[in-house]
Amino acid sequence: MAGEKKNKKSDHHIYTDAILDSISDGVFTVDREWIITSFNRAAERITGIPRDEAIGRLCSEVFRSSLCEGNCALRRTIKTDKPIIGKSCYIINPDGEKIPISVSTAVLRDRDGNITGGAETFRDLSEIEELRQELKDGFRVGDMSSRSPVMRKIFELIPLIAESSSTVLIQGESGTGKELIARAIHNLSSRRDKPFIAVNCGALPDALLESELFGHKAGAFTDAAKDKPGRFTMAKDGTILLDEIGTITNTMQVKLLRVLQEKSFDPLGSTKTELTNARIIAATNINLAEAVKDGSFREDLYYRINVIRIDMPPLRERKEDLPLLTEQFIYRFNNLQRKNIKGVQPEVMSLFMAYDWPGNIRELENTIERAFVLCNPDYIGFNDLPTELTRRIKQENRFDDIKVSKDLLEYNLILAALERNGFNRTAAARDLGIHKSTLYRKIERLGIQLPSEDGRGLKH
Amino acid sequence: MKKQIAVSVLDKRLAPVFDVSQNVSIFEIEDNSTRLIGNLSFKDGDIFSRARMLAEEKVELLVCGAISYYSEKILNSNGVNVLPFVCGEVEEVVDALARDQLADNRFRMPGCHMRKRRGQCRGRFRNMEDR
Repeated sequence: MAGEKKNKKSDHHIYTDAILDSISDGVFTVDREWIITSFNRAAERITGIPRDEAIGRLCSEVFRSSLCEGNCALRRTIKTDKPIIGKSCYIINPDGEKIPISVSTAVLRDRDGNITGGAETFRDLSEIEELRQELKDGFRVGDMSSRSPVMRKIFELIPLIAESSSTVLIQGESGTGKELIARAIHNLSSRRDKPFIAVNCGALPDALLESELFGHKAGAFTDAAKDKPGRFTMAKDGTILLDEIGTITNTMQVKLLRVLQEKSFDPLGSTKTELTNARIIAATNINLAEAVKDGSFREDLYYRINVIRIDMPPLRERKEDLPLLTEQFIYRFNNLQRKNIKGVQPEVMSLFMAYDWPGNIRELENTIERAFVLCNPDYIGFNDLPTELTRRIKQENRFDDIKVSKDLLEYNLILAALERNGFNRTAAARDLGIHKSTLYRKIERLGIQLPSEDGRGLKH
Repeated sequence: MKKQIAVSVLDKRLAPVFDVSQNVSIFEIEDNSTRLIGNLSFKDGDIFSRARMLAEEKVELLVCGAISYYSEKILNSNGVNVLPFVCGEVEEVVDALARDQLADNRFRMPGCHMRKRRGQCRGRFRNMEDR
């Protein structure tokens, strides 16, 4: 009899394990000592930890959630005897990735009602988060959005940077959006209600730059009729962006070093030192480490501003963003110029993809703005583009490039197949003899624009 | 050679997640001996101020539990090396580090096994063994 009972209990455990393994949420249970006693298959998948390594270990060292230190959901449930449902937090997997999850908890009791431990279920929210981002046209921070993985990493870092008051150095070619990043950092920080002041250090000679940054007193120099506050004073507790910092002279470098070290400066003609609490963001299109090596930039200043560095990729390294950026600029210029341009012609997008964009996003913006003046009511065509762009492409023989030619051929074939099939992608893929997912990938990579009515409902 | 290390602490064990941990203990390690020289409280400081605090204390190495990729990168950029995904009693961990025995499985967080998983853990522990 006893043996039968024991076997039944084992069966019960087997069924429970099978049920737990069949569900998509992670589930683990702990005993009174917070030792993991069961760990289902979904828990293995979400945490990246094999069951045999998890069982028998302290739950906080397996689960590694942001709640584990001082805010444990399960501990609270056992203490209050009240379950917690859907509390958001994150866990850190063995690769150092933060995985957003929601957790729910329950108390486990024996037949006599004594608490024997607890159960925690958790749901991976990464996919939902990614879908949310997709719906918002890729990844977005401030006024920038992107589908590029490099930009995604930068976007993920910005909220963290915004939380701190450390100096930031943004490096990148002209037109890559350094000021937009600086503004995003400011807008996400606790200083968001304070001023954001941008100064182009490269545009001014030394004496003017000093007066611009630190201000001057009446009579400090000829024409200084009255006191003028500098940009540091205007920035107060906000953020000051020092653009083109790589171009400033050695004398100004020394003065800025003092601001960074002592948080103080002297307005021109003043005997009174002023203090600043502004957050400093420096931006440059030159490689400051190289400038330090060749002696044109002070090493001590470099280390003071290079506390956190962001390297903005040039547009040629994030061409997957071209369709999205083009669409955004068209939307903006349609609103500004009260036009109704629907997009760019396929050969234009193909040319955009082939071009290297030395002027980066700013060049793309200017190209589209110019095309708006010239183009017909519907789509921007090849003839609406500046001759510099088309000539440069020809000079660089980019259309002789095998990859570009192949892309152009694929572009035209896919577009023709889509049009033939009323933009039904499944039918177009069948027509082309490729898998549907391959077609989706190519549409994305080649920047083929699809009509809002995509023909998915059409039967072929 | 004398060097200063920090250990992320929760009660008497290593804190499970550095990103949200509040306290570190700083030890001086010389040859095989260790000496506690102080404790730091981060309160609500962000990762940048945490990294700066550790750098100002001349901490060369942070031994901690789980840590996010970005936090580790920020610590590295402030000159602090990180030995992540370590677990156990603080005293035992520090002692094992001084004796070059931290590669032992019992000090590794689950899932960070040297041979079983690809990714950072494997490399990190390999480095640790080299140390």
